[in-house]
Amino acid sequence: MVETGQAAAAVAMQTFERIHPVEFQRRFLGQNTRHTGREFNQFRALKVIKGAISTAQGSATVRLGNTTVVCGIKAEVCEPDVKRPTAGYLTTNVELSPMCSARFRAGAPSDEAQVASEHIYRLSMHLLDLTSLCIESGKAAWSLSADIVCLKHDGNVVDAAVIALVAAIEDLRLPRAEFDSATGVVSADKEALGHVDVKKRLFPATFVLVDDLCVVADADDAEEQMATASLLVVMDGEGKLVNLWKRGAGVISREAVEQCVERARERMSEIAKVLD
Amino acid sequence: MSLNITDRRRINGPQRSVEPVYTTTSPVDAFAAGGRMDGRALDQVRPIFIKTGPLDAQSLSAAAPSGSAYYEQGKIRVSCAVYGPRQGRKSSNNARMGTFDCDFKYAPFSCSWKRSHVKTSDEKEIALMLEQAVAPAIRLDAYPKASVDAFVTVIESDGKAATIAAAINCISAALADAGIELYDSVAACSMSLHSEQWVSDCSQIEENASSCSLLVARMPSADEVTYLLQHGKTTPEQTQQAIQTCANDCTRVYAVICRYLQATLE
Amino acid sequence: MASLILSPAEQDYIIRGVESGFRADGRGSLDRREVSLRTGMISQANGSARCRIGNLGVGTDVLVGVKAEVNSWTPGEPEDLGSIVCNVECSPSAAQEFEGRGAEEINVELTQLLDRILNGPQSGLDLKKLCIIPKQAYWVLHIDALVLDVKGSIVDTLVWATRAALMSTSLPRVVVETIGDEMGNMQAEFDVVDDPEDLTPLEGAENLPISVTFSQIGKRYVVDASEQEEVVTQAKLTVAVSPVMEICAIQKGGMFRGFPPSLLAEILEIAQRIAREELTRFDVHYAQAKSHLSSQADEPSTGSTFLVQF
Repeated sequence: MVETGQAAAAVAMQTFERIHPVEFQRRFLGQNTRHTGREFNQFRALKVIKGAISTAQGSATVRLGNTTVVCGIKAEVCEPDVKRPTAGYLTTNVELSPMCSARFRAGAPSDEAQVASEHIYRLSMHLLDLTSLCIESGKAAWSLSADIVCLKHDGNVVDAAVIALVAAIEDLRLPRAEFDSATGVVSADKEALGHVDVKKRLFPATFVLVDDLCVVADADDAEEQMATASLLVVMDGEGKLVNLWKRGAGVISREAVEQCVERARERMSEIAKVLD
Repeated sequence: MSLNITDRRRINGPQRSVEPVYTTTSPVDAFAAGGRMDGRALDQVRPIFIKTGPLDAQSLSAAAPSGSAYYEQGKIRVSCAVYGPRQGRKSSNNARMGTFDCDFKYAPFSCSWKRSHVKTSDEKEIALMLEQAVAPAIRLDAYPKASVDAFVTVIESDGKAATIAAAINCISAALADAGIELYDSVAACSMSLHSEQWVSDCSQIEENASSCSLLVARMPSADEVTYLLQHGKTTPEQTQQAIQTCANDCTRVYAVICRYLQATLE
Repeated sequence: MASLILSPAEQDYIIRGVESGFRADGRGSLDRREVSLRTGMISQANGSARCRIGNLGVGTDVLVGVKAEVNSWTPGEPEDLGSIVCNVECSPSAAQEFEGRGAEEINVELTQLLDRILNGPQSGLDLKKLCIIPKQAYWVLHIDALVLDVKGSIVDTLVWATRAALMSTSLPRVVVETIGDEMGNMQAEFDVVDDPEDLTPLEGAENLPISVTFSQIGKRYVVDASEQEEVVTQAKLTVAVSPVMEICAIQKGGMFRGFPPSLLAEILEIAQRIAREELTRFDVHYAQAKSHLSSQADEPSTGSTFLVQF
């Protein structure tokens, strides 16, 4: 009898969640708790697998709760930009296909994907010293294209993507390359692989203002749907602030921002532990 | 070589980039040692790993797929999400039947060369192949005016025919996970001809060394070949023999898929 | 083709007819329709052909042009091979569903199928012969097909037209010279002879395969399905067979069903027999087209020969 009562309650709860998703969330938040039972400042479990893809020169798979992203880096050689003859390229693109969520359409990248790609591209400038990708000044340099494919979108893709990018760059192994000035051909030795120096590791932490009410860390998809603002804090390995990015119309108080930065600093060591 | 078309909705790299010329070349003849490079028997399929539901939602989000599957076969990694039955987007001529649509994409880093973000014609063709291979198994008459959509992403490929076969198997598992009504599950397998001998489930290097490849998709319980593709020249006897062997391989792959699906029910 | 809508009664009539060995237009299950073939009607192309399969002057109509171009070699491409680039386009005038972007899917399917038959050793063409100087220059054959009308059996018509176009293709002669410079390095240079009379026919085109498409209707199958029959076709199988009876490509089409293995074995067997008959028929039609062309050359030009021929 008790069991059937519980089952009926579970069905009622599911129906409530489906019909009134916003009201459903509000009931939890009003009780100072989240629908998944997490604390407000608690992040989901993080799992990183480096270098699983043999067709990419560097790769990493990141799971943040249910959110799953794969980052693969393909290395090709190109002629450097005339303005920066000693610099290579690092391009980052986030792919949010209809596979990860029904909200996305096939074809051209959605707004969310474009915004994420652009911001991660800006962050990636801190990650690598592009002159380390130079093969021959003004003649040849490595062009790295890092593609971050989202397999499952359950909120906070940006955090997962940044962590995946950092892990993939750390996993990246480039062959030793030489430029032949007579033929203009770059030859590379697959046997002699070397790491690329990472200038700064990046540790992201995203906080979301849900329903103009409370700030929660690492929102899942349901919480993100009713978010009015989000704050991305990126730390380097020494606890210095690299980037602060606030989006959305909602207002986050100064105290809350300071708390978020503080929490991001703690989060830094949590991520570092998983990355090593 | 990739000529990067400037796309203002993506971050673009340099206009033109090429793969470097590798001085140490990998062994060209995949069968030089008399056997296969990974020590498999000629008729041996690479080990298969299936997991259904990795993309399903924990919470009741409307945006989550109704079914999903992740499939590995050797180095090949394929992920698939199935949506539906949901309201059909296309105005269908045939309202008595549902439609099945497939979308196929190689991740840019999934091949030995860099893939374009934009869908190429071979990806469009593979999507069509997948539709033709899997649609006969779906009870589309049970879903009038609705559509079932499958989205497949290849995370890593190793052999073109084998990757298509893996995609078919992955969709089959995802359709079962989504609870779509099926006549039977489709299992697929590929083979390549190498010096008058058929070799099952070839890797990219093995495929490059072969003169002909064959792909068979089959519904073993209904005993119907739902897809057949041969690329390259053979004698009719060789083809007949290969279809037979490939069909047997399909049955073995089918057994693996079924055993997994049964285990998920328990 | 989906643009034609048949009532359930009409569909049932066709299915039962095929199952008992009768077809609506009076043919037997393995009989093909009449073919009309013309070659060399595009003066700017290196080879061209137009093929129509259908009785009484209506049928599937495909126009194919072959254009040869010299390409310079870039690293990463095969060192001593020429290349073939196929493109098939279905004209919006051929069927209602080809309007707008409607033809996109079928264009991709036909292009890839043609590429699968032609690009590689299975075509019988020797791609090495299309190389001018290894690692320097090679011929690219652009095969552009335009589907003008669709009345069933589009693949077979396409292969007929392409085969005729390639057989009528001739390339300008290329002179390769080896010059030594003052450093003692030998360097090869080539020159394309700019004389419209000085042409060499494309080698190996007579080895090209012919295709036979089987349509499964009910429990049986037919060859060269008509427009009405395609509506009730549940699955298709295209088999490309070379003149020496080798199978060059197989591709299944159709969304609704698969083939039982016994039927598949039967089809592959019959495919060879039909291919042999089709190749003989092709040779007759091709010779006719050729003689027609040469007799036309003697006549004074009367403006549009294109219209006169049809």
